Amino acid sequence: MEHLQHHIDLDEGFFKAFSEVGRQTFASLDSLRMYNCSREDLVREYLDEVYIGFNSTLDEYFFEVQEVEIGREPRKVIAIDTSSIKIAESARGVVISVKGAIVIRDLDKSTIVKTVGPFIFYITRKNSKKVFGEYSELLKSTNRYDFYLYAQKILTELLEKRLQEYTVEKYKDSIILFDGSLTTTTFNCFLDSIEKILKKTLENKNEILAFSKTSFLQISGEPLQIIHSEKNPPYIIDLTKALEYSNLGRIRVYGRVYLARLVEGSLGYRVDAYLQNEASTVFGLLLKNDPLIYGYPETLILAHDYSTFTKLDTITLQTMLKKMNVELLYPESVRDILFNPLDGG
Amino acid sequence: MKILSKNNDTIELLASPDEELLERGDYLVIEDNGRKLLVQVIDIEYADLPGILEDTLRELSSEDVKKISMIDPYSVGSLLAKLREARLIIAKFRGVLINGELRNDVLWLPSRLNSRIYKASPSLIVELSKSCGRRVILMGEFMGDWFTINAESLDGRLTIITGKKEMGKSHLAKLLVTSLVEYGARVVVFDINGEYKGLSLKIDGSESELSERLMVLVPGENFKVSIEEASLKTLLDILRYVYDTPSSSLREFSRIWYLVERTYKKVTLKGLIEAVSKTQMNESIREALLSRLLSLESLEFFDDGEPVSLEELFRDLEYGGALIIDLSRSLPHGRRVVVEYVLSRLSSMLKNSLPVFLLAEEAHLYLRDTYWDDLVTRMRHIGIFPIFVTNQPDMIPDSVYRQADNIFLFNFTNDSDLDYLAKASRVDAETVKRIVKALPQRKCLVIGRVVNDLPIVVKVRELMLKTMGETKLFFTSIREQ
Repeated sequence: MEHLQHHIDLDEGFFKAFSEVGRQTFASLDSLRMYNCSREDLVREYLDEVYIGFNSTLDEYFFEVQEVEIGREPRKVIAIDTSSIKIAESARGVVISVKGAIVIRDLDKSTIVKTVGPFIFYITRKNSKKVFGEYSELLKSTNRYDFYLYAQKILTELLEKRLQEYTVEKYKDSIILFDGSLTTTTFNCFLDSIEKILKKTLENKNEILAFSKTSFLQISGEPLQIIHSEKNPPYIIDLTKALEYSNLGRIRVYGRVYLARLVEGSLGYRVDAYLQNEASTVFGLLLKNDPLIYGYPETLILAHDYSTFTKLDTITLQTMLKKMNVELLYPESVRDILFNPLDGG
Repeated sequence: MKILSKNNDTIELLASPDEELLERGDYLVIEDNGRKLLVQVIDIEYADLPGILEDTLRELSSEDVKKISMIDPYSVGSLLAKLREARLIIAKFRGVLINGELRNDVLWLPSRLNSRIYKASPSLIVELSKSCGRRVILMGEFMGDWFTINAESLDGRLTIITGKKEMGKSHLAKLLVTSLVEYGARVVVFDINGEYKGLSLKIDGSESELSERLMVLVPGENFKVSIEEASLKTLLDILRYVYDTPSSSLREFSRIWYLVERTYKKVTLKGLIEAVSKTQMNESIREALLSRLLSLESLEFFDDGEPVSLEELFRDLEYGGALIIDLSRSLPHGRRVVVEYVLSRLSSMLKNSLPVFLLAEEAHLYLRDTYWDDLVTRMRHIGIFPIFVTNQPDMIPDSVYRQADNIFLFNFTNDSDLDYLAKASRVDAETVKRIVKALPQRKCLVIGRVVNDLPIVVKVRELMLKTMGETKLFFTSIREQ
């Protein structure tokens, strides 16, 4: 019964340095006047991916459709997700918060959740080198808008990669679900980290499935999600060859890329898979060990839920900033004050 | 606490969950730049926070999760928990405090962000709600302090005590009766349940200080009156309103009355019955009058042999006292006969005498429709100041509520009762609905002149007398046996 008592003994020290760096940036926040930001999360997939359109149809030779049979073996399913928000910004810098979640569907089907964060960082051009180290190169020669955007993206990636590293190292013989894709582009400098994650995955006999909720991949002008095969789900279509053929080295793909339609009537998703076993077998084990909601693994949905910032989270973080003596200005209210009495809102 | 909004006379305040505990009816002072606004708390709700649905749904889905652990480096979670539990206090504007005076006509609003909000001191509210007078009645507790009213604010006023049963209406009525008697007032009580006689005893069973000033009258036993003292007018009223006698029969009765008066020089019930039996008249009228007079006789309330004079009884109460008319053993029509008699006699007696307070419990059971308006208009001028006690507020006409000077409202949960009261009372409907619905036993909302039109929630104090209002319980009774 040992597995029933299992819990994540996530070493806080693992993230101590991360939070410490954040804490150090607070010193320069005192008495600042900043603008409140909208709470839109960063949608990383859009930034990750390069638009790729396949000018081929499904029945052409390089699209191999594989049927998936529901597996029998129990497997632990672990999902990781992170998110970030800009809380406030000024001409000098931006306050960014990131948080992540690991959700484990254990062998007895019970669920364990571990949330990490929120971490808060005040990023300026001055302290970016100190905060990001080697990654600060990405922020060079960017305008202010891009600087804030990439700072947010890098922080999110940093946390996500750390959580992924931790998970693949900690767990064995498990199906590990990532949010997004397993690719690197010219903007992505987490090559070492990805390779380290994949190496550990092999060592610990884990299987990685990275689900993308949205994708810029298209086949014959149709978005990937709505492409159908003549076969009944569950099935997967291997797009790796087609992707390699089409992208002409613009992106590097790790493992294989699939279109996975796992439930009748649901959408298809792009899934980047780094596997020890046959893809159809691993997808079959996922079907056995994790319920799917609209063809998407529930564990990954939970990880997304626990890592997403709610409106109340945003208010709380803004309250924290106020406690740090930051004056928050609301651009909308200024607009209201100036124009509403005249134009009636 | 911070001001969130003001809409007409409703002010919404945001408060954190660890603020001082508030109760419905408590007063708050909102102070800004030396000026003060007085508001009364009528309800507390959860604040409608942005994204709270999303948050709660997430919490709901977490119920299936075996274990949740967190690494929260900046303790955001505790701050979030506090924000999530933020409260919305709904309060009513009661006035602006200027030089110790509460003003409703001053247009001033305190700053939303910079004003200081705190609980008003009970002494301030007591001071503001104080009406003129020096005869203090200790009514109970308000905001943790004693609360008093003045007997003068009941004098010449129409007072209503209402609430659902077992909430403490009669208890308050007894407190008012004993206090008025202590100050030398004369009180007539229509005691429908025979519970006021206990006021002559202390809780330990010994005689109370008031025992000599309380007179319990049981109709048909120690309260019998003569027909002559009742007068023709009262008898006609009784026949018309209690016995639904047709006008042709009433005309015949008047004729018979004068005939008996001329013949015997004294009108008695026996004489009237004899005269109706023997005098020539239409047989159906004879039968109608005879059956009614025999019914009156059977009540044993009219006794021409050894009658009690209401006037003499009142003379005994010259220095204050209560005349408790125990109607608990009377039949419904008997009650109405007694009430018709007493009210009619009071009207004529008080023309040359001191006024009386009239406490009527469940008055709708014995008071005829035409008396309501009479009591609140004409009889006030004669000197009868009614205090109505009822658990059926809709049985008292609208017009009576509108003219009520003081209302003591105990708990009501029924919405239609609350709607009725809200329409008719001297305070806004929302205050009545929100506060009254949540009042516990013995607590009441006091409205009107008695509190200088500042609604006050009072916990009525204990009375060290046998109040006898408790419900008699079967299981308690067999245990005692």
